Amino acid sequence: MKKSVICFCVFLLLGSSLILASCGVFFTEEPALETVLDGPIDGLSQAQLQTFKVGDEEFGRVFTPATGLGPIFVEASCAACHTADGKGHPSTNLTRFGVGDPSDAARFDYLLHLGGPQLQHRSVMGYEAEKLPDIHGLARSVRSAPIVTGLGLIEAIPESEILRYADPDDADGDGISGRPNYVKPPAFFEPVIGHTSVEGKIFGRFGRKATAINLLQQVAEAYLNDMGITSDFLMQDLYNPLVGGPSGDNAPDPEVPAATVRAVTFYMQTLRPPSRRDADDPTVKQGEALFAQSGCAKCHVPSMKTGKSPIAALHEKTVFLYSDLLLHDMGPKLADHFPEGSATGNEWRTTPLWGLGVIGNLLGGQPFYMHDGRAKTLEEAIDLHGGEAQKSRDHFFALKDNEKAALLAFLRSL
Amino acid sequence: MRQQKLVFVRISLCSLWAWLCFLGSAWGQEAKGKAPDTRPVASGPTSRPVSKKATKQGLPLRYEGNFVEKPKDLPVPTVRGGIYDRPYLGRLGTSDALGGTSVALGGYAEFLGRYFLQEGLSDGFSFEARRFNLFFFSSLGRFVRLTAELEFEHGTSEIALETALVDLRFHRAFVLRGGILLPPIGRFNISHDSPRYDVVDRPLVSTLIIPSTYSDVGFGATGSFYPALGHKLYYEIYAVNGLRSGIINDSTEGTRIALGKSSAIFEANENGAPAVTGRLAYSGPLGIEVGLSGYAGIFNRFRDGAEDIDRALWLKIFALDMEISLGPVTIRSEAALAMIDIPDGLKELFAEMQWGIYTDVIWEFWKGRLGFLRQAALRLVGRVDYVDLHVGSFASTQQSIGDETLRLTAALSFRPYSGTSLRIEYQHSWITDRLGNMARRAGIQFGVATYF
Repeated sequence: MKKSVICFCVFLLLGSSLILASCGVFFTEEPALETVLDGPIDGLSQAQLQTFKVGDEEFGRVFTPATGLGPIFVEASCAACHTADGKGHPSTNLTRFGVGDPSDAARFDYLLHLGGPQLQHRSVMGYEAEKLPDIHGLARSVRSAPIVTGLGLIEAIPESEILRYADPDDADGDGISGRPNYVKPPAFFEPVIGHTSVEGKIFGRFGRKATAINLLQQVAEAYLNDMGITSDFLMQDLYNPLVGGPSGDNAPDPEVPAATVRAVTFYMQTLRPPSRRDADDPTVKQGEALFAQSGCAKCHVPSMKTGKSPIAALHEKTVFLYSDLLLHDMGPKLADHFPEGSATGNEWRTTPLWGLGVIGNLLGGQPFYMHDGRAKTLEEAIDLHGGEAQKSRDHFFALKDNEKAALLAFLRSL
Repeated sequence: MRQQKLVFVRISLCSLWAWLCFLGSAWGQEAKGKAPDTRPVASGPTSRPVSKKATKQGLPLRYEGNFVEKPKDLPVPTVRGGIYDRPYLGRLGTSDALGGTSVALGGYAEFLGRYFLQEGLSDGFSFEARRFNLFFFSSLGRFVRLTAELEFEHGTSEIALETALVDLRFHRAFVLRGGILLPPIGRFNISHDSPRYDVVDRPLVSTLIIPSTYSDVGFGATGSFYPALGHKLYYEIYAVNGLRSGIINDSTEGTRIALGKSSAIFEANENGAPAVTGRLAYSGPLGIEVGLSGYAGIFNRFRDGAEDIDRALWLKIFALDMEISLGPVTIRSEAALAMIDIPDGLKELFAEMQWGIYTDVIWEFWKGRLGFLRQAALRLVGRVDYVDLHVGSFASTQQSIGDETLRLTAALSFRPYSGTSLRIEYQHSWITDRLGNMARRAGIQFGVATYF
């Protein structure tokens, strides 16, 4: 019996040791806040955090045919494109297409009868996906999903604050213009104080070409155009016109209620902005100075201030977004020949640079830069800059190696 | 951090308490009746489970006419730990409590507690009533036999008739089988009782690629041959309704074969084209058992009446399994490869190929009398699990698509009887999403699984 008790004690000891040993070395650790993008902005109330959580869950919800996916779509969830609230992988890129004059949206055919302006290249089982039409001179605009963090702060920046940086006629002669994109609001658009109408059009600030006025529009349109999910805001399902009629989706419309769209909108409004890393490092500081000297900061404006916001956490804050949220001619290498609103086929909205140093962490270690993810390194991305950014690009490549390294270190710290 | 430590201190205390309770209750049993250990030892496919009492007295224990099954007529198991290699069958012919000895009742239960963290975040500690399964066996003489298994998973949240089959035995080499059966894809699906294993979780390859436990309704044949003394060949081949389009349609994560299971399988075939599944196995010296198996079936509704409404989409699974005992060490392994037809509109989003493997190394480092326990044993188990749920690369970047998991498990199992396992384990997983982002998940589990 004595032997038995000893055996039992050994067994007990081993089991307990294993548990205790697991406490330290073997258990996983939470990643540092500055290496990821998700999480709520500081200062939300308990009630706001609850809505944030609902929105977070809906953002990650993957749709299936039973819950309304498609019948044609690009991806099955918000999070599939905005991985961990970050930038999209090239495999999730979407394509917009059309044909006509790239300098004027009024003279551009968005090929609605052929499934334009956005290609839904995937379809649920038993249905046919869209294909690009075989038309001479077809313009294709391939785009990655952008980072979605800090968007509430961007939304809260007053129009007047952004327009301070506009110089459509290049009055200062620095070669950089900066034009606002005024777009036709959707039927469900709800104007708030600060929205001004120019010939029935409203200032757009979201999307690669600044075609979305606010986050609600961005979210409702993404539900429909990217996932084929109808909502109270956009009730008509997407169908492949080449198939000839509605079929393939048996889920009743709307497939998500307005409350869901609003919860996801709130989630995006209250996602915290990306945190800086090594901001006080001397090399990073040197790089920041070079960034300004090179003229990069003329478009990638380091900061703006938000105005009044019903969400206290967004009210009158300084936003370090590194963008002017205006349209710029980026030259032939980046031209997609696809006009939208008042944006021409050469113009893109200045992409906020915050989160630049983190996106690789969320894409399997390989960052994919620029609007379509074609650049694998920051140097490649800078090299692609032309048009109004040509001078800054040339300035960067004329820098000494250590200066280049400092500037890149600064970019990676964002 | 302080809170985390407190949690672990509590876990340790709980663990200590649980083991003391176990010791106390066992001690109580001993004092009460000094009941002899008559539990049958789960045997291999080349032997049959027989109680020690029966062995001592010789067979048969009771024999009351042709209708009553004699233990020597028990069906020959086609796989170690399969439906005819369960301890409860050893009771057949030893009791007339059910009005005769042609019926046997048994089952197993499994309960556990666990604490896991993923990337430093945890949902806390949790207990789980994972399974409570009831076995039934009835023999209507040597020719007709019926066996069934009713499963209660997670309490009563999932209740399923896992097996309900009738065997018509013409010869040991030819038994016609029909009903709700376990398609023999790999070994785990047909031999998955928790008490047989010393690790809490089921292998990834055997649940994600081979969708264990997968029951289906169908007909087929099984049997065994003895080409030489100590060598045995056996086969199973069935036509079944087959897995359904949920593999793709119900999945939120890419191709997930397990979602092709449905209770509607038992009612009708979704597409009118039966799937075929079979396994050929060999067992011989050193307790070696090697099996080769497969499954092929169409999983979508491609035809409506006489009209072809879609392309027929095939699912094919191939599996290789083995088990070998080298003294106190047993090695058990299973590998599977799945090939899935994906519609053009869903390619790259859903995997066209998956594969995985697991290997258990079980070292029984102590076996003997422990107080009143006459055949207690202690085992150390190491398991390596790997599944790649999306073999392929992105067309846009040529990068390999992730969606893979590597899991290591180290477990300590105490077996007071051969059919009971009390185990504690540490598990660490490296989970890579489809883009290649890796997350780590680690934790401990402890639990008990026992036949009854």
